[in-house]
Amino acid sequence: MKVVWSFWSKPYLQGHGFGWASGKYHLLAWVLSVGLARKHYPDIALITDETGAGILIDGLDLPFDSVDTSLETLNDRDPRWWILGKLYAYRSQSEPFVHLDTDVFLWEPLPGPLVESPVFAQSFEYFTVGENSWYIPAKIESEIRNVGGWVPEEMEEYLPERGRYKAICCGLLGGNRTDFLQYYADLAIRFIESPENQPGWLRLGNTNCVTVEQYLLAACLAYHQDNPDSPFHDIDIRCLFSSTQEAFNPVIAEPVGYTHLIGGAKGNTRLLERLESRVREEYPDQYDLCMTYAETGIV
Amino acid sequence: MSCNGLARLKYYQGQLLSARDFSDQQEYHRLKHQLLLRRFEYGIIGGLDVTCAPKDESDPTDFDGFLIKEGLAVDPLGREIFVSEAGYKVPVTEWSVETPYLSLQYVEQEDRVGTNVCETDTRNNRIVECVEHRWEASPNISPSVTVALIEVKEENTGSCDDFTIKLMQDSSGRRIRLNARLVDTNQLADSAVTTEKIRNRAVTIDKISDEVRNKLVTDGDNHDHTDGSGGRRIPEGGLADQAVTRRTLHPEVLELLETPPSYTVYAGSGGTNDIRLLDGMALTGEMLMQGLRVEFANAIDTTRYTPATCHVAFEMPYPITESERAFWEDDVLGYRPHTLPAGVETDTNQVRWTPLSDVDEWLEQKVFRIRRTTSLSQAGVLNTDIFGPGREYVGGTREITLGHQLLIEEAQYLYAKMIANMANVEFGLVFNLEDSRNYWAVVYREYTRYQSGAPDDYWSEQATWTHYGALVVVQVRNGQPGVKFQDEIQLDQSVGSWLYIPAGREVHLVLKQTSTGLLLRAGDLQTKLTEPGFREYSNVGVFMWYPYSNQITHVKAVYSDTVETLYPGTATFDPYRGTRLLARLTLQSGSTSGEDGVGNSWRRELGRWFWLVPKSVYYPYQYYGYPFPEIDFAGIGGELL
Repeated sequence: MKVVWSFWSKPYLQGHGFGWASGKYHLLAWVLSVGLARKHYPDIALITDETGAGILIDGLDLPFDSVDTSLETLNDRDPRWWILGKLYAYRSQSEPFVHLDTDVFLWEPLPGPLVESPVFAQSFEYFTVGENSWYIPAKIESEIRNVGGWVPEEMEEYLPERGRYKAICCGLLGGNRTDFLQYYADLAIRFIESPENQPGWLRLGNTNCVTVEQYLLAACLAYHQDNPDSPFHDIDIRCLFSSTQEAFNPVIAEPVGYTHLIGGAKGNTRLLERLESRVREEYPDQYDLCMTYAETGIV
Repeated sequence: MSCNGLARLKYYQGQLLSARDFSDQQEYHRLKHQLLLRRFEYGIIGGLDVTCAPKDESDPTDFDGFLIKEGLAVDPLGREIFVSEAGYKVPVTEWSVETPYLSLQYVEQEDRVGTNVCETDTRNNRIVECVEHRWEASPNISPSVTVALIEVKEENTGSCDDFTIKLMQDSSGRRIRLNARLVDTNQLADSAVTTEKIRNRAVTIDKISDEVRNKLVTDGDNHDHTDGSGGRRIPEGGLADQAVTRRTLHPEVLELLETPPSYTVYAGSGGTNDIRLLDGMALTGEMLMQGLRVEFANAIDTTRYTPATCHVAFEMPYPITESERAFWEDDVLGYRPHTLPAGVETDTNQVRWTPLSDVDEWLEQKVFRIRRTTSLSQAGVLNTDIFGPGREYVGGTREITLGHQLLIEEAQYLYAKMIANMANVEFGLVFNLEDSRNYWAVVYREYTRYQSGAPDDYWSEQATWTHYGALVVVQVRNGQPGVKFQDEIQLDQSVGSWLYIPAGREVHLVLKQTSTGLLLRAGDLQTKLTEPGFREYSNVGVFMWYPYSNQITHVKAVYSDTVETLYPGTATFDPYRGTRLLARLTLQSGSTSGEDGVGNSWRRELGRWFWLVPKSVYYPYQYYGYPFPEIDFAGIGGELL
């Protein structure tokens, strides 16, 4: 199985959607994320743009087996859609893969039954209508429709179960049914990029990456599972954790050997110092490169 | 409230003004000017070049001297050092090898101009602003500004020909580089290295060459004093080779030599929940309002350095408005600073910066573009003939947050009637907040139906109640409400939904039952209505409470609009393109009797910057605000690091 990372540099350099306390820690996370995964999986790949390759390959000397700079085509996209880098990476995969976020560290290989699934991800997430959630599907649907835009049928038809919506956290996302993952990624990309939707996104502030990536994935799976005629009718998903609560429980997460410095954890100074210390001790050469690069002020 | 000590005069007709009033007015402007100048690096602004001017033989009073030419500098206290066109000449005979740095210092002296009518008052009536020179062992010892380093070529015979004048400039504008050269053996004399100079960063361990580092203290007899015994201070004439090591230095000097300046900045007022800040972290307005705290690790007693100043400047990126961005495009070209008013306190090893209470309101109203929700009655659309409050409602204003928005939900009740007509319905929806007599409202109601017990026993413990939920669409035409649809579902919990309805638009409403829930469409808008939901989250949209009777319904309504800010036309708030904070702390010793007893004072400037983000900004996986969802939030498996 191939391990894939994506890095669209434009949002990062303009400060969208990464959340690290400073650029230095972002670089250190790259070193650790790639270094750990490489211990378990021999085939690792990077999908980025020219600037990203300059930082990660020329600057940090990360040992990818292949580097694809096709995200260069995203130069004219709004960087607030930082998720586009990931979606393009998903869509370009034609063999079994797992995509890792940079803030994900695999201390152990992923469980065998998980990686043998048609589709697998980190964890299920649940939210309820009216809740103060980062998922805002109703608002998106309303705003997009209000301007005469286009909403995927999968999203229109997605209904909650007993008052709860299900989404899928994609700190890691992969699978063997790359045809479905390509379909889903293409759907999300079209949802974002359709010209008729742009006025609606503008009203929303283009800040709904998580809804489009993680909610739409769950909606997409549910829609095709319910449709006997769909080529993806039989596709199921497995998650490393069955819920957010389970993922955030150290008793469960730590034995799995999985770390995701999700959201605000990237601002936890205690953990950031440990990240720096670990990279300094275990990857001293790349640590020096990180420091050198961080001092340039580019990141 | 906390005041900063600045006060200007308030005039009124017939007011008697005394000398004190005029002095206060002068002082007000002088202090404001100094505060502004102290925000920038001190040093030479222009001119003040130094040459050696030989004696004018035709003038018996003249002498060979170092001529400081016309120019302007600002000292660390924000005072201007101005040398006029005539220049300022200093005799070369004053030069000594121990004090080769020629510096200028701001001084004042009194003078008298004119006289009073009776010619009886001879008191001084002017303060003249002057400069005087100082010869110093190291450059830029506060509050002086050094203009030249002067070295003798071979021998000082009192002639200009004897000297070399070095004028060096560092990036901050100071004339002399603090790290211009290493300290060499022939530059050290008794008390040459002092704690004051080390704190001034005039002498650091890096400036002492390896060759000399172990020779700083000597007894001249080549004994090894690495155990710290037997040494004495450096004698006149310098150091002997390999005599004594630096371990015989005064411990405080050694500590300062070897310990870089170390400090930590916290957000918070000193409690256990304080957040340690790194440069570039995001800070919410809520965290900022708790104040900032700078804590020193170098055993620096901040109370000895007065006045400690700490300015936090809120910096607004430029361009930011739509018109500015249309002209300059999207790149941030610079920042416009607004200093936030605050109080500053010093403790033994820390400085606290506490903003004034109205900073929060200012930031919210002038900076953060927010969406407020006002009641329908405030928008002028509600029938004020109200019944209520409802059973579960607690009166008063409360704030809730929703994503980027700060919603201020206010309770209002709408009189409405209902009809029972369960069917798919489709009808025109007019939601026009400018017309209070014609509108539709989509409401959710939940209610509890009394099942048993006498009517006067509703609230007894024996009474039995059943919870119901219903979705109701209310049409109001010509000011008269009527109910077009009611879908009653017997539930243990409730039904909730909301619809984003813009003001002043006509849309069509469709309500559809499906096997798994309810679907609500309003024209091209669509939303989902849940099955058993969560009443405590029913905080968006228009709501109805149905207490008991089937006749009367009380509706609580909210209406959302956008409040423009100081920068109208700003695009949706983007924290990383948005405002940032620059915190600058200055500690200085105003004393002229510095720690080393040779008249040196001390100054240190520290700076940190942060992004400033609004309250409760929307961001994934931040449960209690950004970026600090909770203290020490470790994400998933963070402890494995």
